[in-house]
Amino acid sequence: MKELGEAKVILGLEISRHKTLRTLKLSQGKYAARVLEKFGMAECNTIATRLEVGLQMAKSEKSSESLPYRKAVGSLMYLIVGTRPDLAFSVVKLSRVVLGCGKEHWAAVTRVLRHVKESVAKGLVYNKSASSILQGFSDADWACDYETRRSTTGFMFIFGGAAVSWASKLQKTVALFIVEAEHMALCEASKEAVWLDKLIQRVTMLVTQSDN
Amino acid sequence: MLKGKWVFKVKDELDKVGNSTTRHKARLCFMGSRQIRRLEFNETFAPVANFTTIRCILAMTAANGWELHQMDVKTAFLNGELDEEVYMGQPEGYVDPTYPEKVCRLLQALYGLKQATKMWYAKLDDFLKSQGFDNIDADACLHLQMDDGEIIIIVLVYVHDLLLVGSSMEAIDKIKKALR
Repeated sequence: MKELGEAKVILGLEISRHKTLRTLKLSQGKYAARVLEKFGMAECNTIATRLEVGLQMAKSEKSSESLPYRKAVGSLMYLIVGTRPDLAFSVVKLSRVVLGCGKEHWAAVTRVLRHVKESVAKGLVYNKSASSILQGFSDADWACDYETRRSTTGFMFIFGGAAVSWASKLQKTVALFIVEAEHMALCEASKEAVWLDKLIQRVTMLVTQSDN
Repeated sequence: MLKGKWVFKVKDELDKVGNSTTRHKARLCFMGSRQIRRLEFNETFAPVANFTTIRCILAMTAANGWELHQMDVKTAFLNGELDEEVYMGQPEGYVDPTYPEKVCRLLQALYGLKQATKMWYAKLDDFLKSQGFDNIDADACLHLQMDDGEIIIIVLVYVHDLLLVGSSMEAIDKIKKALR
């Protein structure tokens, strides 16, 4: 058993606390810097947006294996899993063309990396003053996948002042109209909400009990 | 019956005073890739904490001003105890000269054994339960304990990384002592 004292890094997520203000910041700055280094983007110019608006990504005829496309997308994935919901949509979109990635796709990945460079210190800040109610948001685009015309689900849950759960995924079936797509997204989000509610209820129940 | 294999690793690291040293590690590994299903192993699943759970707990930690500590279990997998009968040839360099054909029955897990993760989790889970921790349905890796209606301790398990959350320093010390 190794004693590590106050938690500073857990699974690559850096924790910094301000005890009097009761804030806790979760970030992956070091990991992001390592990723940038790995793809030779440590000195790149920054950019404010992640993807071009309305970018259509078609698979290339032949995949250029010389580009570290998969590696880059995979490395960015861990940022999404950890602390960066803002990157989810763009990276998930890029990950759909790993089997047919060409130069234009690589350009899109480097654009995301340039954005990561700009926002390297960003993270999630949880605080006391924020409402302790779980808030959920869900949205869908309609038929925006270039090849299958399926829609994308997106949802996010905010608790204690910052996001705790989020996802961006391609829906399993084709939605015939926008409301159908929105409903499918809402369904995914509701499933997550039920689980999250159960989790938070169980823990906060203990807290409220302990206050008595 | 399968063979064990020695795995050697040279690790450059800083010692306590800050000098760089080289550590030579040797680890006896089991060649689990050749284990036969239903004969030498059954289930191999082991849960890990969900990232969402971790974030929720951290959000509550911030709001309530709880203490947040972490621990790391060394050579975690060696602690697991085996249910199945698994045999291994005598490890190279430690063969008994009088009975070189005899084999060893494994009682505890080794690195490389397919069920090592499951057995380690089972052991840790049993231990936490014996200490009065409750599992919750939402996440198997979240263990909760309430003491006298006042002190709360939460243990989040991610294989060998433990995240300890307690409403007071005493609570943290108490669980740390128990875990040792």
